[in-house]
This record gives sequence, structure tokens and C-alpha cells, in this order.
Amino acid sequence: MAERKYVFSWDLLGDIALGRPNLGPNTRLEVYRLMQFVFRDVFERNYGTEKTDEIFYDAGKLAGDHFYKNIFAGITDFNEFVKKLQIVLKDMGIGILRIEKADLENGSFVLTVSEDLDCSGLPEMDSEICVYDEGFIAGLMESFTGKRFKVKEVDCWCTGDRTCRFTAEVVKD
Amino acid sequence: MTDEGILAIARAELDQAIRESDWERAARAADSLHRACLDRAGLEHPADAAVRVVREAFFAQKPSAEPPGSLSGNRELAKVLEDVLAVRDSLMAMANGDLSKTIAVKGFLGGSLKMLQAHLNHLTWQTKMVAKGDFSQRVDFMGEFAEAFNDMVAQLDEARKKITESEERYRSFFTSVEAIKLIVDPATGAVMDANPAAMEFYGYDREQLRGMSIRDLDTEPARESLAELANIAANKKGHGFFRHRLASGELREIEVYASLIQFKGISLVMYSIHDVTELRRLEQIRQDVERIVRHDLKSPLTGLINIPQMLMDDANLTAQQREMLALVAASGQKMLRQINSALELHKIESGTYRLVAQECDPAELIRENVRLMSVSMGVDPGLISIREHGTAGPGCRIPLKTDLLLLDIVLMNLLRNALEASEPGARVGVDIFEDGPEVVISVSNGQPVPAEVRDRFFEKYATAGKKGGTGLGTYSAAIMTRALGGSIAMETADETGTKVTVRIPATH
Repeated sequence: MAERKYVFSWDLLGDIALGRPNLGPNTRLEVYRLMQFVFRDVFERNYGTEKTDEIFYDAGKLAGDHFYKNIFAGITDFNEFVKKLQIVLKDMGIGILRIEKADLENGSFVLTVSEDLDCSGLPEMDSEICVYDEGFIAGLMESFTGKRFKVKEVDCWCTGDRTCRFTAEVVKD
Repeated sequence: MTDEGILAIARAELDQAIRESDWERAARAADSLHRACLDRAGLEHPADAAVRVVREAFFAQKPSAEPPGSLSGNRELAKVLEDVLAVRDSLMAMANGDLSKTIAVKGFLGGSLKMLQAHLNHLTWQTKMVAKGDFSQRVDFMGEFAEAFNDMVAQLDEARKKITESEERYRSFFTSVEAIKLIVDPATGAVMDANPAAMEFYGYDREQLRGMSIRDLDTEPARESLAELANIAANKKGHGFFRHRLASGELREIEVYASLIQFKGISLVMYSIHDVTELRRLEQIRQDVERIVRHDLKSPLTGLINIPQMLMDDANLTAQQREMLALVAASGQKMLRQINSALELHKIESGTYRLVAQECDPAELIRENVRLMSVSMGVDPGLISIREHGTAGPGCRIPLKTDLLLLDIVLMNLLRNALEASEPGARVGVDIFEDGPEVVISVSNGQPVPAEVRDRFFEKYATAGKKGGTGLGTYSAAIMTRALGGSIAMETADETGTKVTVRIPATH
């Protein structure tokens, strides 16, 4: 592979306080969605839907991995992890996380994200749209457990549901 | 109008609308004609059938899963029916408490149901977390229920904190006190915990004691140890004497105060143990010495009492010498009575005394005691007033059949006690009367009982304010009154002095 122009690291998010002394760290949600969905449009045109979904899943997973390392590192108790995750996701306006099922022994989880950053309020479409979220959750779960996870969105605002529901299962070797 | 008439008018209206190219009017006429034809054929209009089927799907007890024959090819209707029935199934599952059923329907209706299902599942998970001790869980949905849930969890958390604090305080007290303490499961006798004092006393470490049963320590048969524990559990407290075996094999006499306690929601018995081995040994020595002295003193006393009597028969004695000899004999009698009293007391304490009932006159017994005291203690008989109230009137003899020896000792003790407590020259009153099946004798004096002995007035060795008091007088009066089947009570006040009342059965 040719030399890369950019390799993500948390530091590269920059010093927001320094750079935005007047506007601060927040922006309008439309701007976030505008960027994500035009990326999707362009990627789909260039690489097709399946490949685009893969890219978004991987991007989300990379984000989840870094998010965990910078915010949750050191937590070993699952309930404590969930509690802190709920607080952070809510405080940062990402969504309201709720756990429906958590079977740590068998690595099987069902969770929902209401008022989701990516999709809540989108018009109804034929399929689930939160592929980036799937990857993000997978990145968090893998970082916490050290095991590989497959996360799938089973209900989405875009398919007429009022909350996004995800299943997360350990990938058995 | 006849059906033919309606058909003719509808057909004419349709023809006219077509001729005039008024298609909206033509459509309405065609629909009227269509309905009229269906009526003639006895068939249902498709729109009516569709509404009926959907309504049934929503509200009927047992709806049809398929559209009626005339609409069987209508895919949209079939899909609506399928979705409505799926929503019904999901709702019924949730109503029956099954939150795991997959809701296959998409769209607003299915989405709302899924949101409710997700909330209920999350609530279930939160409740499980609370059950595991995570009291930080809070519900931020489901309105008033959320408030009630959060309030309940907060109160549980508060209660748990209080229990934890209480248990910590208890633990701190349990481990820091010098008294020997064991925690025992009353059902099995298992030692659940032991404090450092117990470890030192028994010679086992904490884990060793926790692996033992109280039966391993107690030398009583196992059945009796457990029966004692069951008794403590039933009465919430208990007291007794036991003999426990230490790790060294040595046997120790212990006094146990046991109480039922609640620890982490379980009923347990806490033993507070006092090692009374040395006390018991000293007590035994004291009793043995007392018994030997009493027996050894009785023989020489016989001479002390009888020889003055014989000497007094000599006509050459002066009146003063006779008086002195009488005093010697009376002193001997007094000492003999005291020794006999102590011996009877010992018999009662050891359970070997046999009551012998006989007719007696309580007033005469008191007068006799007064005479003796006048000789031996120099008491002025005029200071003791005896009031006798028989059923026949004041001054009448009160019939009484009881153990004369014990009653005599009781009265002697009460009189002597009253006289010794009184100021010189102060009066002592004795009242004797019948009260139903009982004879009541009360002895009063003007002095109050010192505050420090009021609560243990009838206990052994309880004495205060009396020179040379042994603390046995009121104790033996009480124990002998009880041996007579009676009761004894003391009333005292600074203003009115003290009255001791004995009630005994008139007939034994």
C-alpha cells in the first residue's frame, strides 16, 4: 500500500478550546448528518452499497475503539462500563442507551439507542441505516471484552421504528 | 321502490353521464349500479368487505387470517391483515409478560410497540441490576412509574446504607469488647462468628471456631444444647450456666447471657460469656466451710445452753448471777436458732428441705421472738406493736397451718431487720390479718431502705447502712416464704419508711 496521508489518532481531533474560543465544541446536528450522508452518497456511487456499508462499519469500529481508549480505559466491571457509557452518550448528545439483555457469559447483548445521532427523525426507508453505529458499538464492546463482536441493527427509525435496536454477539471461533 | 326501478334509474343515470362525458357523475352512477347489482345477487361490496375484515382483525376475538374470497387477490389487504394480526400477537405476548417476542411489523405502529418492548426490557435489566445491589439505577422514561421506581430504589439504597452502618457498628462493637462473644445459628448450633476475646478464651482461631458447632464446645448432650438454643430463639433471650471444653481440653464453668439478633436478615443468637469457673470454686469452698462450721458449732452450743439451766437450779445463786446465766442461755439459744436458720436455708437452696405443716399462731410466734430479742438484743418489747385482725374481729386468733420452723425464721429475720434499721427508741409495727385464703403479715419501720439496695433488697448479700449486716436476713426470709408457697414484697419511701409484707397460704 502506498504511503498514507492520514492515520487517525485522538490527538488529531485537535485542541477545540484553542481553535474555537467563541463557537465552542458544539455544532448543529444537520451539519453532522449532512457530512455523513453525502459521504454515503458519494461512496455508494463509487463503490456500491455493500462496500459502503463495510466502510461505514469499519469507520464506526475505529471510532468506538478510540472512544473507549480515551474515555473508558481501566473500567473492568460491565455495569460500571454501561453506566458511564450511558452518561457519556447522553451528555455528548449521541443518544440514550438502554440495555435490554446482557449475557456476559455467552457474549450476547441486546441494546437500544433512542434519539440517535445518526437516524432519529429521518424519513422512512427500506432498510436500516445506522451501519456506522453498528461499528461504533462493536468497537466499544471489543475494546471492553477483548473479544470479537458482530453488531447488527435489527430495528431502526428509518424502517419505521421509534428506537434503534442492536444485537451484539461474540464471534465464536 | 322496487329493485327493478332502482336498477333502471341507475342505468339511465350512467348512460346520461357517459353521454355528457361527466365522468365523476358516471363513476358515482356506476358505483350505485354496482351496489344495486350486488344487492340483487346477495353479495357484499368489496370496500365494505375490506373494512369489515380489517375491523375484525383489530377487534374480533378470533379474526380471519385470510381476506374473504372476493378479495383474496388483494395483496395490499392481505399485507394489512398480516400486520394487524402480528401487532395483535405482539400485544398479547406483552400483555402475558413475554417481552422476548420478535415484533415483525415495521412502521409507526410496530415501532411504537418496539419502543415499549425495549423500555420494558431495559426496565427488567435495571431491576435485575438493583437486585444485584446496584442502587444507582434510575428510570428516565415511563412517567409516574419512573418516579415511583426511582423513589423505591433510593429508599432501598438508604435502607441498605443504614443496615450497612448498623452492621459495621455492630462489627466494631463485637470485635472490640473484652467480653467473650459467640454468634450461633439457633437452627443448627453452628458457630457463625467469634470475637477476639472468644478466640483467646477457647484457644481456637476464628476460622476454627467458625467451623465448629456449639455442641463441640458444650459438654451437655447435643440434644440439650440445641433445645436450649431453640428456647432462646423462641423467647428472644436466655440465661444459663454451662460447662464448655477449651482447645486445651480444660473444662470451664461459664455463665451465658444469650439474645436473639438479626444479622443480614438472618436470626442468630449472640452468646455473651462470662467465665465463672473461679467464682464457682470459691463459692463451693465457702459453702463447704459454712456447712462444716454450722455442724461443728451445734455440739458445743448444747453445753452452752444446758449448763446455765442446770446451774440455775442451785439455790445459792444471787439474782444477778441467775440473770447473767439466763443471758448466757438466751445467747446460746439465739446462736442455735441462727445456725438452724442457716442450715434450713441451705436445705431449701439445695432442694432437700421437707415441709412439715402444723397448726400455729403467728401472733404468738412474733411475741416469742420479741421476748427473745429483749433478752438477747436488749430490745424494749414496748417498742413493737402487734395488731391482729382475725375474721372474728380485732385481737382474735388467726388460724394458720404451715411449717412452723420456716415461718419462725422468716418472722425473726423481718423483726430483727426492722429493729436494726430503726433509730434507737423508734417503733416497729406488725400487722397480721386474713385475706381470703392467705394470711398476711407485714412488718413496718420508719426508716427507708437505702436507694442502692432497693432493687436487690431480697438478693443474697444485699446490705447497706447496717453495721455488721450480712445481707442474708431478707434473702432467707424471701426464699423461705417462697418455700412456704407464699410471696414477699417490700414498699419503701423516704416519707413513710419501709413495710415488708409476707403472704402465705392459710393452710398448707
